[in-house]
Amino acid sequence: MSSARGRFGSFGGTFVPETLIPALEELESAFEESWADSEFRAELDGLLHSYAGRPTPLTEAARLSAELGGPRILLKREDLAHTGSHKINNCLGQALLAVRMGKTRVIAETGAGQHGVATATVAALFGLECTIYMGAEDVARQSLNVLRMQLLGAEVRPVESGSRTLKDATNEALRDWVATVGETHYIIGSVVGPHPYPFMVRELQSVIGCEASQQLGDARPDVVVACVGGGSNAMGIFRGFVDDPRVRLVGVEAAGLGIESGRHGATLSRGVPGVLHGSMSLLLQDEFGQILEAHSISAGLDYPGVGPEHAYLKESGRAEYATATDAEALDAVELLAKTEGIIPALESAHAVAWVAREAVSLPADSLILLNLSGRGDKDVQSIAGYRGSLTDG
Amino acid sequence: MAEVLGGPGGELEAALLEKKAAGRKVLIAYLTGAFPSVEGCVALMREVADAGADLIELGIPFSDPVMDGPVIQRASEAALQSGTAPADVLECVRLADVPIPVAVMTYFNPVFRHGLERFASDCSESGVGGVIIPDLPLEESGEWEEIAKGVGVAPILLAAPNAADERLAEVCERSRGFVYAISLLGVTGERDSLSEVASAIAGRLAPMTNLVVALGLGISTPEQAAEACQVADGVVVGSAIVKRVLEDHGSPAELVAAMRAAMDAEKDPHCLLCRAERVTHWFYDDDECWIAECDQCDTPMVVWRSHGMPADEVADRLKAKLESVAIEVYGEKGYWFDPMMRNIPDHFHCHVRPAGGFFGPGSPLATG
Repeated sequence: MSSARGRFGSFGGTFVPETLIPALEELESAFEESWADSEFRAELDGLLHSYAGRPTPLTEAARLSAELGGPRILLKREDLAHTGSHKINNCLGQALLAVRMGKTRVIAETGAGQHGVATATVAALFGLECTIYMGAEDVARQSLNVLRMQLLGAEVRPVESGSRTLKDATNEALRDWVATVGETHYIIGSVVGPHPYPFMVRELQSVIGCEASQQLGDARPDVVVACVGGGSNAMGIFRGFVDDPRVRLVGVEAAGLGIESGRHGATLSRGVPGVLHGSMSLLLQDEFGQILEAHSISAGLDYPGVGPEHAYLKESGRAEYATATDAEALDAVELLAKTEGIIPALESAHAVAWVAREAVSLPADSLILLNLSGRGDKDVQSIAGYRGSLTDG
Repeated sequence: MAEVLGGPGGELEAALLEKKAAGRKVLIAYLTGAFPSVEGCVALMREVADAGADLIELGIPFSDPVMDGPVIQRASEAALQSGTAPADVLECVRLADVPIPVAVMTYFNPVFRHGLERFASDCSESGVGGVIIPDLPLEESGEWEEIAKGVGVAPILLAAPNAADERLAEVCERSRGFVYAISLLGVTGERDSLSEVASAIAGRLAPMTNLVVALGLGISTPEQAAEACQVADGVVVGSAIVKRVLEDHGSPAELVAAMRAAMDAEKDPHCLLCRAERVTHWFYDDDECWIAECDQCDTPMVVWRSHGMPADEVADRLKAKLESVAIEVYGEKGYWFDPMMRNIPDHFHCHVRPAGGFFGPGSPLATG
C-alpha cells in the first residue's frame, strides 16, 4: 500500500496551511523514528497491556448467531479496552510521541466523546495540558462523556460554528493548532487529516487486527466487518487481514434517516473526491465544493469525510462499503444486548446491524469477525430518548 | 529570473512592483466576496479602491475556513446562507471594474470541485489577477501554479513565520504577484498589537525576492499597518474591514483611508513629534493626530501624525479638533490659535494659548 508523500493512490496528501508544515514534518520523522525503535514499541506495548488492558478478547457470539440463523460470529472486544473503545490505542501512541517531541499540551476533536475521553485520559497519565473541541450539538447529546473529560482534567470547548458537530470541532482544533503549534500536539482521533496522520493512526490501530489474527490461530475469517466514520477502528482491524485476498473486508457507514433522505453520513457510498481537514478523500459536498452536513444517530459517524485509505480501498475494490440506518443501529443495540449481554456503542451497532441483515445470506460455515469498537454506556440516555420518541410517535 | 506572466496576473504583479519602485507601501484590502450582496460588495470594492487600497483581495466563501477567525467565518457563513457561489464572487469583480488589481482568496476544495483549469480561466476572464489558497502548501500546489500561470493568473503563495530559510526561498521563487507573509502563528482576526514575529518574517523574506512582501493576519489598525510597513512592502487588512461590514458601524472605506494615511506618513526617527511619546497629559488622539499638553508652555497642542506639512483642509480639520479641547480648557473665546512652529518647524503642530497670554495655566511662567 502506497504511503509515498502520504498518498494512498490519488487520495491523502498534505492540504494544510504553511504554518502547520513544520509540525507535520516533525511528527512524521518522530513517528518513523519511534516506530522503528524497539524501546518505543516496548514502552507502548507495555502501556497497552498494563494500562489499557490489551489484548482485548475475542468473544464467540453464539446466541447472536443462533438468533440470526446464520454463520459463526466472533466479536473483537475493543469495548473492553480502557476508556471503553479502541480510541485509547491511538491516544497512548500519540501521547508518547508528544512527550518525545517535547510538547506540553495536547488538543483533540471529538464527536461521540470517545476520542476526547481517551485523549483526556492519556493527558492525565502523562501530565499534559489538554483541550478538547466538541461540537455544541454533540456536547448536548453526549453529556456523560463531557463530564468524564472534565473529571480527567481536560477543558472541553463547545464549538458553535457550522453544523456544531465533529467537522466543526475539527476546524476549531486546527485553528487552535495553527496558533499554538510550538508547544501543542494535535492528537487526531481517526485515520483522517494530513499526512502522516492517516498512516500513523492506522499503524497505531493495527494492534486490533494483528491481535485478532493471532487469536484466531489457524482459523481465517471469511468476513471482517467494522463501522466507518473517519474509519480508524475499521482500518485497525482490516490491517490484520488486508494482505489475504480471501478475506472479505466490509466497512459499514451511517445511512442516517436513509440514503435517499439525504440525511446520512455515507461518505464512501455517496461522496465525491475533495479536500477537507488536510487530505484528499471522498466527501459529502455540494456542486460548489461546500461541505454538507452529515447526519447519524451516532455522533462518531456524523462526519462528511472519511480516511483517505478507505477511499483508496474502495476505489481499488479491496474493501466494500455498506450502510446501516439509525433505526437499524438502534435495533442492533437491543439485539446484541439481549442475545449476548453486551451493549455496543451506537457506532459499533452499525456493524452489528450489517451482520444482522446479511448473516442469513452468507454460507452457513462462514466465520464473521466483527469489530466491536466501543461500549454503549455513553449512549444509554440518548437511546432511551430515541426509543421514547419512537414509542410516543 | 521568473518567466513573464501575462494576463491580469502580469498586470497585478507589475502594478505592485511599480508601487514598490516608487517607494509607496502596498495596502491590500480584504472583503468577503458577494457579501452582504453582489451589489453591496461591488459598492464596497469601489469605496475601498477610492479610499486608497492598492489591491483588493476578495474571499470566495468556504464552509470550513480553517485559516479564518470568527469575523471572517461569520461573514462567510452569512454569504453561503444567502446562496453565494464562486461565480457570484467573480461577477463582483467584473461589475466593480475597479482601477486596481483584484485577487481572490479561497480554500482548495471549491477550486478542486470547480476544476483547476476552469477555475483559473474563469478567474482570468473575470479580470482576477491572483489567487490565494491558504490550505495548499508547496507540497500540493505545483500543478495549480502551472495551470494558473498558463492563463495569466498569479499563484500567490504564503510564507509562514516558522518555516526554514530554504522553504521561504522556495516560496519566494514560486510565488507570483506578491509574497503573502503570515505575520503570526494563528488565524485571521484582530489583535491588540503587531506580533513580534511579523517583522522577523518580513525581514527574512525581503532579501529573497524582488516581489512585494505583504504582511497579513492580525493587522487591524493604522498604527499596526504603519509599523508593519517599517519592514514589509505592504499589508493585508481583513477582519478589521469585514467587521465594519458585518456590524454595519464605521465605514470600511474610512478605515482604509486612515491606514493609507498612516502608511504614507513620513516618520523621522529623530523628530520628537514623530515619536509621539506620552510624556505629558493627552487630551485626545485618533488616526491622524494627537492633542497633548506642550511640555514647554503647558498649553494644548495638536500634532499631525505625519512628519511634514499637511494640505490646508487637513490642517483646518486638525485645528477644529484642537478647538474643542481649547473650549474645554479655556472656555468659549478664552483662547487664541498660535500656528507658529518654533522648535520643530518641519512637523505640523499648532498651539492654543489663553486669551491675552502665552503660557498655559499650569506653567510657572503663566500670567494673570
